Amino acid sequence: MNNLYNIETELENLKKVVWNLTRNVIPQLQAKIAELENKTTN
Amino acid sequence: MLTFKLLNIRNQLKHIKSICFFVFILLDKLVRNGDNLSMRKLFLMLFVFLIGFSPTLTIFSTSAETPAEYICVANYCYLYSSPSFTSSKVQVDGADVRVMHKDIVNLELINSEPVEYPDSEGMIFYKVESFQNNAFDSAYIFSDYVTKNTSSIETYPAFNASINTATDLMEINGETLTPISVLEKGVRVYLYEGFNGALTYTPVAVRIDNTLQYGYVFTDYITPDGINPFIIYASIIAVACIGIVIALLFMKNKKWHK
Repeated sequence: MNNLYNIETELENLKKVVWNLTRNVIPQLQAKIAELENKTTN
Repeated sequence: MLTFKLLNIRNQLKHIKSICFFVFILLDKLVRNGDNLSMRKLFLMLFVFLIGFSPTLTIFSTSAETPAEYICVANYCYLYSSPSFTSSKVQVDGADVRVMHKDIVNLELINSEPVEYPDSEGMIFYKVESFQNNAFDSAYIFSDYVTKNTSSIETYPAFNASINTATDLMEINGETLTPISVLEKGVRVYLYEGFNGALTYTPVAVRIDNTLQYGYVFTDYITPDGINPFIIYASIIAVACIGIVIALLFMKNKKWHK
């Protein structure tokens, strides 16, 4: 039962990490790349 | 080159983002169905299966996909601002961008294949991401004018016409025509833009001294290959004969059963 609880918390954590990646990290990276692209084309 | 890399990274980020979102949904399903063990098993299996076998996830292993180069096979062509011949031509420094024969263009790719953009008449265009160190947001090239730049690019096309009178192979520079070589009667040529008897000149590809040359020839001096009528009649007769033989065999079998 304890193991199952651990898996659940791990899954929750993983979910948070993935959500953070999707909503924050990747859009930030995309914005930075767009900025760099603008700089190189100008 | 830096622009290519940035384009690559941007495309890959798009993929990774969509994969992450998908993984998030699966994880969410896994967590929410905590009470239902069979549902949890099902989602877990799906999750493992997708992680293990999904071809989209190969992006992680091939993180730096080099853009496949495509080469122009037409004498020259233009880039259009939208996938249509009627749209405006793409310009750089006030001049139309002209892609010459054997010039390399970098196209938008998905799974190493160029993304197809059909126009209203079904003509396929490819999106050009960059050409000669210029990156474009919206530039399209007619798909028939480009081919993948591989080592087999020097293979010769299947010729589909012959020259019926000795003539010159010409190059068009604006309004003037300059002969580049002589074509003897019977030389096999490839009509890469099709054949239209109403045109004065027809673009052809021809093998001269083991190299493929492109140019224009008087349309009257070209005889395109057609389907020999004898082949059509012969195939109809052959099909009819086979039909009769099968029908006879079938009738024979029926009689024996009686």
